[in-house]
Amino acid sequence: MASSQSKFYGALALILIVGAALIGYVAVSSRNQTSFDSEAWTAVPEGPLVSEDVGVSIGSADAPIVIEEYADYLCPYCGMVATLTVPQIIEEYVETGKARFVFFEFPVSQAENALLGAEAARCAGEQGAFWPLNRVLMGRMSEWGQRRDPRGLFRQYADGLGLDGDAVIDCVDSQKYRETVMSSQMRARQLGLTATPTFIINGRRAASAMGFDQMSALIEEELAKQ
Amino acid sequence: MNRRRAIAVLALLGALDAAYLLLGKLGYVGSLECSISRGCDVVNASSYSQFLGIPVAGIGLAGYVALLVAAIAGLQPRWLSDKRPDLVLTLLAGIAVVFTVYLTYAEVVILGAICQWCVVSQIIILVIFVLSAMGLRRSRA
Repeated sequence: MASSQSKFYGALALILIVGAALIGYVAVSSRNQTSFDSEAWTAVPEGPLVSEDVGVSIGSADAPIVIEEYADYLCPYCGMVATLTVPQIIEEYVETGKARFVFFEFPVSQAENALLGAEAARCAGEQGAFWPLNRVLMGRMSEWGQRRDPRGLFRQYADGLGLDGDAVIDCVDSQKYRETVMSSQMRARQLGLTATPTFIINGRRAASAMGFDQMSALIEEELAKQ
Repeated sequence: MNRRRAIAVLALLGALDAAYLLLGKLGYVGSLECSISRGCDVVNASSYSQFLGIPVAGIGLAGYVALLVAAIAGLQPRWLSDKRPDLVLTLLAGIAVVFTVYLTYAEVVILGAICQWCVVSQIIILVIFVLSAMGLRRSRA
């Protein structure tokens, strides 16, 4: 009996050690390192690649650097870069003519609200306010993302930005941008992307969220080649 | 006795699962991205991953440790034929099952995302509850 108990405690200790070791291994191996991983990246050629025109672009067409962002309106890491990294990148590189920034929707969460959010931002674009609403939606995803129907909040956000909120909602209801958003997602899939946020800087992919310094270093790397 | 041993093993596995999710929540495991195949990113970063400001994975870890302690206590010679450990285990597991139902609702219905490590925990806690309740019935009989 005593021996059977000690064997049992031994087994428990073994499970604990193996389990802790596995978790430790995953923690160490998944340490995030932000860098270009173009070598490991191969595009998935399924039909002609959806044109870059499907994205929302800001900046000079002649800019030497093109930064593409693929993001999901319900992915918290996209929210993080949208509020902490992208505005500063736009200020430092886009507004100075060094880069052009193109935003593509890639709703990996597969949630209907992610599509509705994407459509709302596109609809705000009709009033020249894609980027302001994009930033609000990304920053407040925890508020609207879990609503059964987030449209009321979309109206509030749009009104708060001085837009015609009802027009934004009518536009969302019409689903006129659903096809555009789906095309944007298709482009991401054709490029073989599997996660958000993913940035493609002059054709080189850098996955996962990063701060301004990290992204700036990648952009400078590309600028140095010009 | 074998039932309480099974509960102890399951509680330890549940604790490891919860510890992994907690480390993910705190940013020590996993990368800073949401991927197609991993609903855990969405679930673990949502507001439902916290309850009264505490990460639910942390609450889960504490719960599993409590179940483990209760199960091991129930294996001590003086408690072996006592029904109180079964009562404590059933009570703890019952609370956990109610909490799990709420979280599963949030996960599936509200977030529309499935986190496989949360599913593992859901299965473990259900089995622990059934085993504890069986023990309680047996000790009452």
